[in-house]
Amino acid sequence: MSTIRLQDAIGEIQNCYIEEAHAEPSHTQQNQTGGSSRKLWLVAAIVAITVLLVGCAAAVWLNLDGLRMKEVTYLADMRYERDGSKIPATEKIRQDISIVGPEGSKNQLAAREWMDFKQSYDPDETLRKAAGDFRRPAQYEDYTDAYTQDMLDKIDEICNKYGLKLSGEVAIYQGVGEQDALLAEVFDESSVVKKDMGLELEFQGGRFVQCGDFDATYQATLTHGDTSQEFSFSLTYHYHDKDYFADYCVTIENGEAVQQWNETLSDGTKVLFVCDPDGNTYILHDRADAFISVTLKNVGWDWDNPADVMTRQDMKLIAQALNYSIKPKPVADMAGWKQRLEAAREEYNNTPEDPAVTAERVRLYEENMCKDSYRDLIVQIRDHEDYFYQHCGGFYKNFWETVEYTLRDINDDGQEELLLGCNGQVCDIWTIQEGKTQRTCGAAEGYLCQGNIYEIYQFTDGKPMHTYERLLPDKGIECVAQVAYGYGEWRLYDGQTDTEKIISEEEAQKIIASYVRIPLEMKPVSSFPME
Amino acid sequence: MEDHQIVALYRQRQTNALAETQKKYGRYLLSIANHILSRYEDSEECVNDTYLAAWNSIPPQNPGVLSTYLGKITRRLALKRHRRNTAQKRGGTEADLSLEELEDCIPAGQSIEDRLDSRTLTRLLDDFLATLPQERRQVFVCRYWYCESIAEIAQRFSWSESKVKMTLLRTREKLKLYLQKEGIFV
Repeated sequence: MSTIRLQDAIGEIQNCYIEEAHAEPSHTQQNQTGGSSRKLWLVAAIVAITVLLVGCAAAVWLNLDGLRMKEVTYLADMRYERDGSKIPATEKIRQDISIVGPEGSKNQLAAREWMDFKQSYDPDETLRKAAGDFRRPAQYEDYTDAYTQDMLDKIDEICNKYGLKLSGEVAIYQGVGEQDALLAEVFDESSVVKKDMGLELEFQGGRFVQCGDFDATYQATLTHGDTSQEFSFSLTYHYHDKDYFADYCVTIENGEAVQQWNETLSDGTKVLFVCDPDGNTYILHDRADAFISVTLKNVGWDWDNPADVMTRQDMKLIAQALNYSIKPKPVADMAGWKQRLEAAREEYNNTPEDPAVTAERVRLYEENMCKDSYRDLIVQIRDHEDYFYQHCGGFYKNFWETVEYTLRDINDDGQEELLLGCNGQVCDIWTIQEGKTQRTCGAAEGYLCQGNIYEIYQFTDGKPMHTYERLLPDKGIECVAQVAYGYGEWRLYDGQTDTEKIISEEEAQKIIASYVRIPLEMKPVSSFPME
Repeated sequence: MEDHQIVALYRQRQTNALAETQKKYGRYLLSIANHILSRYEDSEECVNDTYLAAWNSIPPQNPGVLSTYLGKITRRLALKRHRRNTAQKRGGTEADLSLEELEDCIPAGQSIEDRLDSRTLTRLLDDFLATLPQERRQVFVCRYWYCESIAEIAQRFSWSESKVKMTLLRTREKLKLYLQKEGIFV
């Protein structure tokens, strides 16, 4: 051990002694092109990656300050609490966040220059009004804000200045039928989501630009591996190729209350999370050749019910399940590609459903919904809860344990209807038509009012809406009236005259008060007479 | 290219710093590694590791003498690899032989004081080397820093091998006395 210490200590002696020992090191170094050149490329590659990573380390931690394109203070309308109390009009900040590139990138600089140009170009919109049906050439199709030749020229100037290309034509797609195969061609068989990561996506629709830029919206379900807890939300995946010019932004309405944080995912991918108080989350990732942004809507991170609140860990699970290496190929013949896309949609729409599938659907419908009595219906729901949960709504979850019923003739035909609900609400109404049970109407939150009027109450983002319906003897439904608040004013829809008008808050409250909700005596469905 | 120019490339994160380093010092470093490892493939990897270590350490390091800066890295890496390769049994490489010879510098039944830090030991060695005539110092460094063979040293200095062996023996004895006098053994 002591010898090794001595050997090591000798290794660190003064440089002059080492140089002196090889007094003419040059004679050992003449024509030194051999040695380890065979593997130098490997070291160079490692170093190149190191350089890249070092470069990324400085730029990869995105933040909102570096992505913010515009910030506007505005007065948000007065809103309501669920109990009817008012939330006064308040000043809020709207932020436009760039999703084409980070601060200082040519993509963001180009987008900023385009934004500045638009703001000063036509302030009173004279040119816009005079533009008429100005048509942009196909290669400018994605620049929807351009409505004069001068604006197109400005786009060309920006592209030249920053070394960017025009993004090309745009196609809208629904992902039906063979459209999936066409998209698979440009996605090179890759997907926006990784397999077996607990995130399931159901495609809803999207937009594809010739250069490869795209956005795709999905209905998403995250299943938490530990607890099997599920979150359902909307997910939009947006991809931008940095070789092309675009000015894509996302707008955050409550910019004064956003939260942001950085995360490194398990594969080393660095992402920025941004959450706004409206239940939207943005996952942003800056790649050397592309900028990827994913918008999650209704993730419930700030909902009142803690059980429905998606945590940062849940959001990270979603982020982990996404594929950030996707690289769509540009489409050379966009016109032909769009034709194929449209043909696929036409074919899908014109292809009749398999008669066997139709027959099976009808059979299941009749077997489950069309029973001889309410008793048989309740037994059917009890024993086939999943069918009703899937086809009639979440209200039927835990049917036997939670749902209550009452019987009441509410359409004046002399026969009782079956009213199902809980907590004083009526969430579904069944009647009997030609000897068979039939579902008439329902709501997530509904009430029976005097005069057998059924009130559907909706409350979204501080805006209440009351819809009043009447069941008719022939089992039809008519809308009597609707009183709704939105955009800072109350509106009344009159079902008799099929007209709508703005009313005062006092008038609205008076109409709402005129429909008096009836307290119903309801019993558990498990106590429904079975004999 | 001058050393300061190569160092500047490292500091500017220019990847051609590697190519320039290899061009100027590749064979020198390979020679150091190969004396210790005696396996070309291992030596080559060791030299490549040296380039990477240099890339990762410059900056913040700003070596004044690039050759010895790199040489020290190569020597450390080569010895580390050699000790790992021969953990069970020493082989017959010049590194092994020179290590065995260094045992002469340590009195029987004694060892270097554990509390003595490596910098102090190196400083003592520097002081000791300063007392030696130049040729004896050169021979010592060639043998115990570069791990060159007796034959190579003899050729380098145009001495006989026996003269090299005798010179090294006397230097080791002198070093032992010097270190004893400095009280580093327990």
